Amino acid sequence: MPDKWMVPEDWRLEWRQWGSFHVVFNPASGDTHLINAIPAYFLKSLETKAATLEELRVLASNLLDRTPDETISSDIEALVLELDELGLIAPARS
Amino acid sequence: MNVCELSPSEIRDRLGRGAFRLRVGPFVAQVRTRLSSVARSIGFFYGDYPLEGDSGIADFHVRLAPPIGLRHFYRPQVLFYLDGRSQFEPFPRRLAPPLFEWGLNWCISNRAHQYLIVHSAVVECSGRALLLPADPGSGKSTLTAGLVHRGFRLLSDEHSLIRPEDGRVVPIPRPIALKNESIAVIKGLGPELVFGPTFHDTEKGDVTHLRPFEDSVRRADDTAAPGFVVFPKFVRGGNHRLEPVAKAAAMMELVDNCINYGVLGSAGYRALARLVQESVCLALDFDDLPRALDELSSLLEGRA
Repeated sequence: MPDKWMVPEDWRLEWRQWGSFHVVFNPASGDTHLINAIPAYFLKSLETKAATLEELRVLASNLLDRTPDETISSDIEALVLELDELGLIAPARS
Repeated sequence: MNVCELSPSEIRDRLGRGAFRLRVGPFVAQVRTRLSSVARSIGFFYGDYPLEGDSGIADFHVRLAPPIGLRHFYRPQVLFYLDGRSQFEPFPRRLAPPLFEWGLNWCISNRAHQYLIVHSAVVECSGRALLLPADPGSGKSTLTAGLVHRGFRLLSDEHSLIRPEDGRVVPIPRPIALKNESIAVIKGLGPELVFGPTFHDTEKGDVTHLRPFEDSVRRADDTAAPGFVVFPKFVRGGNHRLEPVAKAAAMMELVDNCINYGVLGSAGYRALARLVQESVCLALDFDDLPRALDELSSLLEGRA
């Protein structure tokens, strides 16, 4: 697993929000994705700034107002892998 | 000049010389054929359509002609050419008239990338468009024919052309294709509907076309604002429902129904998002055609 993840700057994702759902278009792949509020929150964060899994765990803990635990860790890891598989994020170059 | 101002022999002559330039919505199709069945069909369906002069650019250079060889003596066939290239496998010659319609659909789907093209029927009332995006067999043409019979303006039976610059729906009124059981249903609506011949045993089953009303053809330059997106599904014996669809879900469904979304990239995404944003989105499951038409009519007339 790479150290850091990000949305590469030149991908320029396009967003529309309707209710708690977001429809994201990735011009780099031409794919359109329907995602709910939680992945949208992390994806937007990775658009702004690259982050490690640990930093995303802290972000999730703050968002959910919980102390980091194993469930959060595994959920974040699964989310990152899924966003990577969808081509919405990529390993950040150090 | 409109096509109906030409005599049948003049239509045949112009088509034979490739001097027949038909304006269909925003497009000009230059048509060439020596097949009399196609000339008769064009005269019948396109009588109210304008002809363009000899100069200017045609969007599609279309030709229908038999394949070269001796085959026409025992199993006559016809080919559809666009810009001098044959686009499909040969069709039986008896299907030349519907092949002209199918071929023109193909031209629009594959060439008209100045528009976002949704595979959808679309009608209009009071300047607002109602789109019916659906796969074949979902009943969109049946609903469209029924709505046209009730006086709503036909913008298209097959392609919703969305102009990316301003999101407006550009009409391309053409004959409405009806298949199998829906032919008798729509023929039963009234004598004011005019049909061409029925072609049996095609790949789609029995096929006929309904001639568009003159008003729809005459107003082919009048674009419409997005109003409604209704996803129809004919469900034999199923429960009738007309329910809202969440806009995000409607957007994804429309992505699947777009013909050239992948070609347009960000411009397509923005045009589609705007269409969704500005439309009321609904799903219609129906078995009872009059009830479905009542509900869609109410929507279009602002009564629902």
